[in-house]
Amino acid sequence: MGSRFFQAIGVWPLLAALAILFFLPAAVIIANSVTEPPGAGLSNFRRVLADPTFFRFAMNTVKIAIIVSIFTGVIGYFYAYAMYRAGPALRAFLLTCALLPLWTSLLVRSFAWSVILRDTGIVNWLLISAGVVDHPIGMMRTLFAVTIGMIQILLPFTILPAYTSMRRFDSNLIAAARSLGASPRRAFWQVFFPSTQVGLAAGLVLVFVLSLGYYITPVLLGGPSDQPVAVLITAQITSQLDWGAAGAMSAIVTAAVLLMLAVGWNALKKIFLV
Amino acid sequence: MIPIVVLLLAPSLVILPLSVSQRQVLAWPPRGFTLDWYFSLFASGRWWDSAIHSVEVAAASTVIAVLLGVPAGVTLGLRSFRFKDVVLAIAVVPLVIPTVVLAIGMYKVYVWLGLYDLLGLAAAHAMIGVPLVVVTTMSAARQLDPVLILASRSLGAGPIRTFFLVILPGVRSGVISGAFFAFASSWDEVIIANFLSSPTYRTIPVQMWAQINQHVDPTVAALASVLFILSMAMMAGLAMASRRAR
Repeated sequence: MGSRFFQAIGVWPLLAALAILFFLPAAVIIANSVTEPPGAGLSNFRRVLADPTFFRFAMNTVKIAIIVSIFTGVIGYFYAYAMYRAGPALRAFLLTCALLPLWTSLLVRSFAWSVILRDTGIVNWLLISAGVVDHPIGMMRTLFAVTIGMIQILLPFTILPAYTSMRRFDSNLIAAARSLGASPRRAFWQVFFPSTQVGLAAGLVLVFVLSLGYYITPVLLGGPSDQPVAVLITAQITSQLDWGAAGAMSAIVTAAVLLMLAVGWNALKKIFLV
Repeated sequence: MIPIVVLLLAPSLVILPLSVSQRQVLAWPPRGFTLDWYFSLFASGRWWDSAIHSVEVAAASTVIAVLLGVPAGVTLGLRSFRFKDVVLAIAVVPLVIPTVVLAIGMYKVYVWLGLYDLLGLAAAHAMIGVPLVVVTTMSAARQLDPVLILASRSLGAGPIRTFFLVILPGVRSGVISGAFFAFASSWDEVIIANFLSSPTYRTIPVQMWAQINQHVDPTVAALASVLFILSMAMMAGLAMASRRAR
């Protein structure tokens, strides 16, 4: 008994700290959904779920998460495949390009996108100089601005897991498939892709889950009709002081995040935790 | 491939030329050359104060994250015990819980515990940084040769001596990466910092967020460039440190 307790003693300080400093705050805010105002019961959930504003913000969140996941998934897998096929020098360059955004501040990158996409930004300057358009196209404060910013910010999260799974792939299998008469395309889709799709899946789960909580990028780049639930939750606290509604919305978003994680746990574990 | 590389690098590359442009507004193309925006940035006491706050918070939270995360990562990497998967899930979940949810919860609980400004931010950011330390330490510990630990124990070293003399040097590269990641994640964090800091204890991201939402001038581009160069330095620092640790 005693030795079994000490077997895992290294994790106890961490668990104790997380319990007080992480789980308690998360639990208190979620508990607020049924305790604020006193005796609220499920009324906050009924109120929030019937609220067209919440519905609109929730739809924005899901729409953005889906668009961003699709683009980062396709582009990230393709990029990882190019890294996998490249020579050492090009591979090192591509890896650096993928890691650099990860290190650059999210706030700095979102701000930079606002500078790139504004009417007097480089994109409109290029389009006007090339004679494609006469007047600047309004790209700021649109869904396009939010999604392109988030795609760039989250792209490393699909590139790196996909690349990890490709590096573990036994390239002899492709040679075997080819020698048995499979075309390069068939060898890719029937041998390479099935063995590396776990990396793609891990990246997609991660991107989807992270985009559900995005706040900074949509506020800086999106218009009033592109804002996600995270913005609505903050507004409940800072302008409405409605802890009950904030708690109910937090509970819904957190449940969605945990559900996605449970679905993707095996893929995430295979890629990140081995 | 080239469009994707452009997409990845665009934000970093566009901001630098604009930070030395003589224009009063952030408009492309840049015109002339001036370092005035940098001078006005570095002459501002407000930015220096927030830089000091950011360094304090990031350093303190990294120390806490390492102290908590390394023993946990080593244990998860080397031992097997009941509920290990559950412990692992608990240890990494702070990375994915929406920051806004966490921020308002911490706002309520931390203030009640008397944790705000430096203490509060260090504790909060340690919770975000610790999963990174756990994961990197754990994967380094998995690669340790278990024979080394057995040898140390059979030669008479106790578990504590073995930890400090055999295991810790063996997982050093993982600890270093984790510490860099934890530092960078605190350095960049806005949302929690916004809720837990008083107006006199703003970190750089909080100050920058306030500035962007009030009035954007090229000084912000100069700051963004400085932050970009610092993050490149951090990335290069990690590459060098982990090469030396190997």
